[in-house]
Amino acid sequence: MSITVENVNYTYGKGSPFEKKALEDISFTIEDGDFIGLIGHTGSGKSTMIQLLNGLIKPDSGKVIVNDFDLTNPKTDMKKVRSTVGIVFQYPEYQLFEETVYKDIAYGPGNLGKSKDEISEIIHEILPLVGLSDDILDKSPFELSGGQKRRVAIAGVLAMQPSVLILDEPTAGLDPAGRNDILSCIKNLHDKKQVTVILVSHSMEDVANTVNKIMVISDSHLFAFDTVAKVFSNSEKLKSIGLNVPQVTRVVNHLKQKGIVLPGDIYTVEAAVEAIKEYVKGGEKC
Amino acid sequence: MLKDITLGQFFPLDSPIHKLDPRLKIMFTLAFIVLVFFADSIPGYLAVMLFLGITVKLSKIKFRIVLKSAKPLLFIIIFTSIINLFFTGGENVVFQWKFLKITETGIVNAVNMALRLLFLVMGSSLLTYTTSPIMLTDGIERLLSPFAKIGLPAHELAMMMTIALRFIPTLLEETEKIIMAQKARGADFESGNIFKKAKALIPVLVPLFISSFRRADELATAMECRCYRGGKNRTSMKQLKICGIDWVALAVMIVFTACIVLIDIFNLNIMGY
Repeated sequence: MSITVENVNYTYGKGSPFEKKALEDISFTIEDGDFIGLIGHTGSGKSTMIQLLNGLIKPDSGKVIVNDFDLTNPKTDMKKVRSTVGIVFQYPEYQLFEETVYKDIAYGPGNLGKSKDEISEIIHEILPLVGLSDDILDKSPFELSGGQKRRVAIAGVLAMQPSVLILDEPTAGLDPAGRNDILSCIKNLHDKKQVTVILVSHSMEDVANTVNKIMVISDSHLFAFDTVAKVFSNSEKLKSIGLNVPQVTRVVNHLKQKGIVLPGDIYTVEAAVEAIKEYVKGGEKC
Repeated sequence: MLKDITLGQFFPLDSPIHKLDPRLKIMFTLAFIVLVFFADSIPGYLAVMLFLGITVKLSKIKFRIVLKSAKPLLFIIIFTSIINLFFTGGENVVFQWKFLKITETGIVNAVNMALRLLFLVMGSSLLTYTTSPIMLTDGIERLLSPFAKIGLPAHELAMMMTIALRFIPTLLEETEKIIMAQKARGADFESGNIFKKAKALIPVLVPLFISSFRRADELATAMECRCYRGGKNRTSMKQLKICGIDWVALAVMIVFTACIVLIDIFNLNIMGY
């Protein structure tokens, strides 16, 4: 059970004067339980990529296979695909529409034909995962705060119990506390429920702190797909496509240039603090 | 899919028709509509057709596109023609079957109606095809400004139109996004009967309404912040001025009007009404 993408091409507005290539000859395999960070510039093809993964759009050529579902085959049951791959779009709170939070979360599983009891069970299981309490269920989603709305929206997708969860910039427009909350929720989910997660982000820090593999898309091509350490080890190459390594890695690289000996792969603040502490201690001993 | 809708679409080309003053263009379009109803004979229609053809040619917009503008109204055109065809009284019955009968006058009326509607739609869509929304609302504002004295909020009406036009593409994009998001949550917009389909649209319409209200609110605040106070003492950056080409167009329009009126009078004389 995994996601396989083979030689996928996708062009917007084919045949019209507004034709634009969005993806060119993309191939990769995502294993079950992976936690992947998808990075790239605005307009690089990230959004197109994630829409392909649950069949919202079909590739012009190439294959997309998710857990034995061939998404390019017109006979595939799309409802099953959508319950397998959940997408949380950018600013998902704008898709809330029901009178109560409960009803809104129940919309997805209801569409999948789940019974009332099942839905109720699912909702009570999911709420703590996204850090919400039960008393919110009878409120209108429109009277909640921004961060709460977003959690409700994420819960709405989780309620479909997908085995692959794709989040498109889930932290956009949130304050630092809200961001950390959402990120730790996602991490929690990945660790506890063994869900495969694809996190689209602009923030190298968010990605470095949470994921274990990074996919870089640049100018509609797959630029890199490797472990966090390997992708961030080549800062020059990332810079050449206008991206960068996390700030803390830049600081560490500067320190190294000044002759301070630190271990090779540091891309989180915690790791940097530890390494520098070690270095300082070592210095005192001498 | 939704992006294919051409509603008041503007084709930015460089042509004499594009360069015309929007006020004149609006007036000409109104005159054209009136004239289309004046012309009710074959020579009259030929004159209208010729005029429309030359205008389209000058505007550099493909004839096919102008013709396509009538497509949304095709149903109405066919419907009115059929009504006219079957339910016009008259002497010379051409065809009769039970209560349905087609008379000569009926056929003439049906053809008349279809041609008029077709010309009407094509003529007025040529206006929006060759005039940018900004120019169009500018023109409307200036044309309505004399009525401001009797309390008509000309500027406000024009501003409302500008904003509405400005938000059409934005809202379409938004709709597409919401449809995608709800589809990802297992929404099904295709299957089921008409009631089921209508009900399936609720998860799209509610968020769309909410976001339009939010946008309206934000826009109002942004306008307030820039001290927008309506039309009083407001000048425009682009002054509309009648120049050489507009005079030519005016002359052509007068000649065309004269032609139609003459054909009409002449026609009446022949028919001996």
